[in-house]
Amino acid sequence: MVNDDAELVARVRAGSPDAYTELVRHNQQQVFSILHRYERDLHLVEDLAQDTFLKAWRALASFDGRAPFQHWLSRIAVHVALDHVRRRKRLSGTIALPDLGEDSVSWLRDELPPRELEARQAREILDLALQSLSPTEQVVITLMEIEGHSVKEICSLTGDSSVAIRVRAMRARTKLRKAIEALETSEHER
Amino acid sequence: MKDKKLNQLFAAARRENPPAVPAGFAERVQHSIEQSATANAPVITLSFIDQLNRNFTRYAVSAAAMIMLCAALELGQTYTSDTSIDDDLNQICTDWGCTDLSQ
Repeated sequence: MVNDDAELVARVRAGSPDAYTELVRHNQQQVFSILHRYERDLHLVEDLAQDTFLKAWRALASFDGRAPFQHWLSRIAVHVALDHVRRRKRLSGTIALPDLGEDSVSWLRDELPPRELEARQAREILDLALQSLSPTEQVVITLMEIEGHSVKEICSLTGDSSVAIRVRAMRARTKLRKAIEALETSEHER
Repeated sequence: MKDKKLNQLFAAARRENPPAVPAGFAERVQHSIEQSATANAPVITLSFIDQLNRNFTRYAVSAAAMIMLCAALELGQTYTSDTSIDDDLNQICTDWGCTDLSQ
C-alpha cells in the first residue's frame, strides 16, 4: 500500500485508474471532518465530500505539489462548505427556532457558572446561533474557534487577507453573543 | 458572561467526534468521476469544410460516375438519332429566334 499522497498524485497523473481511489481513501476522513462542521445531515455530508473529491480530481492538473496534498484538498473542502452554507442561507432566509433539547434549554438558562455541555448540545445551540452570521463569517469562526486554525492558516484556506479574517472573526463573535442572548430570552419565554 | 458561555460552546463543539466515512465511499467517488468523464466527453462538431474533406472521395466518385453516365447517354443518343449537328444548330436558332447560321 502506498502511503505517500504525492506519489499517488503522480500515479493518477500517469493514468493509473486505482490511484485516485487510494488517494480518496487516504483523505476521506479529513474531508468528512471538515464538512461535518457545516452540515449535520450525514447524507448531505457525503454528497459534499463527493463534490470535494470530484472538484479535486478536475483540478489535479493545477496541484503544483508545493503544499501538501492534504492542505490543498482542505482548501477545496472549505470552499465547498462555504458554497453549501451560502445555498442554505439563501433557501432558509430567516432564522428558524426549532425546539432545542431540554438539556440545551436548561444550559442556556443557567446563570453562574454555566455547567459543562455535551458536544451534541453545544452543536445544537451553535448551529442555531450561527444562522445569524453571514456564510463567510460562519466559515471563519468555525475554522478559528472550532477547528482551532490560526489566522494565517485560515488565510491560506479561504484565500482572504488576514485583516479580513480578523474583522470577520470579531464581527462573528459579536453576532454570536447577541444570538445567544436572543436564544436565552426566547427560551425564558417558552 | 456571554463570552464565557460562547467559549464553553466552542470548547464543547471541538470535542465532537467526526462522523465515520460510509463503506465504499472511495469507490462511489471513482464511479461518479467515470460517469462525469463520460458525460463531459467533448462532442466533436465538424465544419462544412471538414465534412467536405472527410467525404471527398465519395463525392468525387459520385461526380465522375454522373459525368460518365451523362457522356454515355449523349453518345448513345448521337449514334441512335439521324439528325446532324447542322440540324441541331438550326433547331437552337429557331428556338432562340436568331438568324439561321447554316445559311
